[in-house]
Amino acid sequence: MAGPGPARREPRIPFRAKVKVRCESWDRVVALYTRNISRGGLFLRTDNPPAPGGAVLVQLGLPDGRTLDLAAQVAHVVSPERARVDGRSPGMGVVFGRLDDAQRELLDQIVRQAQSEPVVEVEAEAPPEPPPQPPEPDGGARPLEQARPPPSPPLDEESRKLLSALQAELGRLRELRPWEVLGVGADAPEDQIRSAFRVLCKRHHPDGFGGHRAAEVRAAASDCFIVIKKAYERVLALRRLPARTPAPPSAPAGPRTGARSPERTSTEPVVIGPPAPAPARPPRSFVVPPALQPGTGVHPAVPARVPTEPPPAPPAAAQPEEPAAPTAPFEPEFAPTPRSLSSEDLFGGLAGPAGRAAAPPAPTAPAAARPAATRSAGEEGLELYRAQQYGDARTRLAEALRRDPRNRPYRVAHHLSIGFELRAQNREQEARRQFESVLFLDPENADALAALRSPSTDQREQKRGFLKKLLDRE
Amino acid sequence: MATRRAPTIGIDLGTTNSCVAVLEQGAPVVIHNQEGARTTPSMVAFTDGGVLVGATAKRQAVMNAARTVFGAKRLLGRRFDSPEVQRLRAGLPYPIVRGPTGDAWIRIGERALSPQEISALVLEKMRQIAEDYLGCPVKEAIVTVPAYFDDAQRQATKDAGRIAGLEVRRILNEPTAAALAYGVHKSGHPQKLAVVDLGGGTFDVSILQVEDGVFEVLAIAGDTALGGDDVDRRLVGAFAAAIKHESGADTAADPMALQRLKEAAEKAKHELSETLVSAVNLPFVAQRDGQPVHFQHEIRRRELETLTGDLVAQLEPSCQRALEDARIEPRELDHVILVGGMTRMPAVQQRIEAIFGRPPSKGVNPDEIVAVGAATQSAILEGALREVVLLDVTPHALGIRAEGDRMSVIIPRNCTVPTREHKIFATTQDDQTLVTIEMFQGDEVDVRKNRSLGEFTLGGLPRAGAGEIHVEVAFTVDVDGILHVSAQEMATGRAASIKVSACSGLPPSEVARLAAARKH
Repeated sequence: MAGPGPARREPRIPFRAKVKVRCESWDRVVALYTRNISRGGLFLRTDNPPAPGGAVLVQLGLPDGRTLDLAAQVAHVVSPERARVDGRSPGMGVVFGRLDDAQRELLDQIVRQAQSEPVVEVEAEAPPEPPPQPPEPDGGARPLEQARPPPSPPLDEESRKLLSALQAELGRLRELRPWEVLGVGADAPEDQIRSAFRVLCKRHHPDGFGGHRAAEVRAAASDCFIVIKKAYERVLALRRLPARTPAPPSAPAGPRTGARSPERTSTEPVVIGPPAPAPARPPRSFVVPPALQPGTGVHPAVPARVPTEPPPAPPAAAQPEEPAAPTAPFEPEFAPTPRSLSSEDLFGGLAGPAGRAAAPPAPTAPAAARPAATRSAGEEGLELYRAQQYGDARTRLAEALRRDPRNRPYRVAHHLSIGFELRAQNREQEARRQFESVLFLDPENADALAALRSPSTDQREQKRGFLKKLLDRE
Repeated sequence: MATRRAPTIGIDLGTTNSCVAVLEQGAPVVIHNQEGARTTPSMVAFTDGGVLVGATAKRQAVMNAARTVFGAKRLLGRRFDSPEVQRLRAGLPYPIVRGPTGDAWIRIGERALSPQEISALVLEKMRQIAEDYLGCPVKEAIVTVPAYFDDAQRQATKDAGRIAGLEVRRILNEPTAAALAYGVHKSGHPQKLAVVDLGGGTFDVSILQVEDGVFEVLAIAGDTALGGDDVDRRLVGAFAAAIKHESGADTAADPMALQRLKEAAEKAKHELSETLVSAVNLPFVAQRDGQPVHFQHEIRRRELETLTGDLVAQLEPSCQRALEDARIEPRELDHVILVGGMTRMPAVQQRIEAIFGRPPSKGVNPDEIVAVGAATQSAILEGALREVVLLDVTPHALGIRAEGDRMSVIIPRNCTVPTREHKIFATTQDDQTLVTIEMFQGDEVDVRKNRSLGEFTLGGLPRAGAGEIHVEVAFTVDVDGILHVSAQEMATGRAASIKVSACSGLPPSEVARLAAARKH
């Protein structure tokens, strides 16, 4: 792992787990997947890593249901741009702050377990079969590309060069700490920060590229400018912080964490203390990060669920009471969408009404009444998947899922089949997305992990030996 | 290809008057129109002989009041149902109707026209003025808008340009343009300034910091429904009441009388900026039982100030908010620049002076400075003015509806543009396969009190328990202040995106059709 991160002393162990992460620049807790762990830190996969140097709070789930909250600092990030080039996962490496004995003990346990954990193949246990359902949109087969201006008119030579230079610059900027983006020291005085920003503005503001009629060039310049601007705002905020609101005395004392009761109310802002001297740290003096915004409690171990009643007709009317925003970190934020989509659905794939309205009267039907066809389709699909006949497997699994949408093993195998199919067509990026979505369903899925580890389209990679590959250390 | 590349012109598309400027040998020049005036009335008249724009439209307005449109800028990008439009409707000689997408349109005879089309006619006129002066076709323009204009209003302005056959290379905020034209960056010292822009239909105040050629807008505040038009309407109301009182004649339903009263009000308003008393003399303004009614009246500056006291008082909260958001004290300001014709009113000047504690800077032509700034911006876009950068901000907080009708702010107000912010949301129900993302702008916690910007749906989410599906919503505001929203389900990468203004206003196909139609 390149990146300007400090040298690590602890060996890293591949470790896939869903953890809850909160960092200052995100205003809510997000579930991310780890890729490896050591006693000093871990690597988290995300397409949108925050700037290095920021404070994060990581909550690891323990096998016994307790949680371990660790304050950490972003040591380095792998931008999506660089990840594409290098064929690895974008994300961030974080180093833990000072741990107390209890935390260290728990962390040791996790690391030890990660070392010894056997990797399990996808279990194709036969699930109970619900009655048939309206056909389900095939969500995975055609992942839409991220919204970008279509590169319609061919670029001239100059624009192309400029564009690739800007994109390279963007990748570089995204991996830098905010003050590094500006090219100043972490403790630079404010006028120096401002002046550095002004110089960069003149170089990167999209208006400076206004003469280039190619929208892509201006968009890339815009992206660069956004990174610079955010770095500037961040550095200024850090700079101003001690003067404006002195850090709470408890903050520097290290992580205010540990396996704590979930009932913590958060009328007071949660402060992520600055990572205390971690095993390896940048030589620069660390600036106290600002407190998180109020209303962001430390999360309960179990995601808070909101009663899932059928939604009332207008979304505005008679909602179940607002899920006290500050206390429930995983508080569902989208208003339910009771309206059904018309048939000319945005994505063309949805037949008939979707959403809750489309949900089948499933749970009441007794298992015995379910047609045997479902099981056989699913089982057949799994067989086909194991036989690496991905196309057929996908069709069969899709059929089974239509009847039994909550069947995880089928779902997992379905995504895997699509992924391998896409990979065989050299559509690597789309394939990776499939594998990543498998990890969301099943963080430990060996096939997906192995598939993500091998970015090449080499056929051999798809064949057997996933287990063996998994044992290889990154 | 012409031997000489046509320059990009700068157009100040005003509520009452418009102005065009162009760079010549690096210096901005305000172009005068065929009548020799440096500003052109933003008026469009539909007559049996064709469409008239500018001074000719204004001259015949009395005879043709119901088919002469002024102040179309106040309708740009506005919903018919919005309180601003409903307030405007009363007392306008031309009828406002609901357009096909729910926007406010203008009915002329049998036809309903969008304000974009009216504004396009004005822009086309400004283009012609520039072409006559330059002697070459003009295809590109920078058009200014009030800083407080929202996404829909900016997009509508851009569409108007496209209909007029102009590629709008940049939508520029009027106060920022004024600051650029004022030339504070040439002094070499870091400076802070306030630009107060009170035009025909809008008011906004911007606080800027200028250093090393970088114009950084620190805060914007304002009111897109406050301007000289409101003063005129107060006067018209006062005159109509006086007529009714004197003779019993009702002028409210008579477009021609209203138009004459409006002209008289404008004239009185202008005169009262210079003198203490103005005489109004309108013979045959109305009829009562077959008898002609004449109106002769004297109005004093004091009376005008009493009539409009509350309007002038509305300046203060916005100015205070801008100062607070910029985190500066009035005494830190080096300049206060006044823009827009309404700032000539002595009561306005006094109020501004009281708020900022310093007299406004002299030597600025409030009618022309914005167009000059727009022309100067073209040099920045062309790379001829490398040492200057304008950093504008978002005037409104932008967010989406979250559970419980809470406004979940994604981009706060006064955030430097371009900018992009992400926020992650979770589903609220088991097996929820689609989410509707409804965008809003405004500062209220309850979204229903904020202005809706539209919505779109992300469907095809994998079935899972409530809260297990995470959707990342990204808001991007481009350098023109126009919002683009995308949403992506984090696991599958299923994505949807939208240019927000697509939810209202004219669909792109309609803009293209109108643009093509105008060419013939």
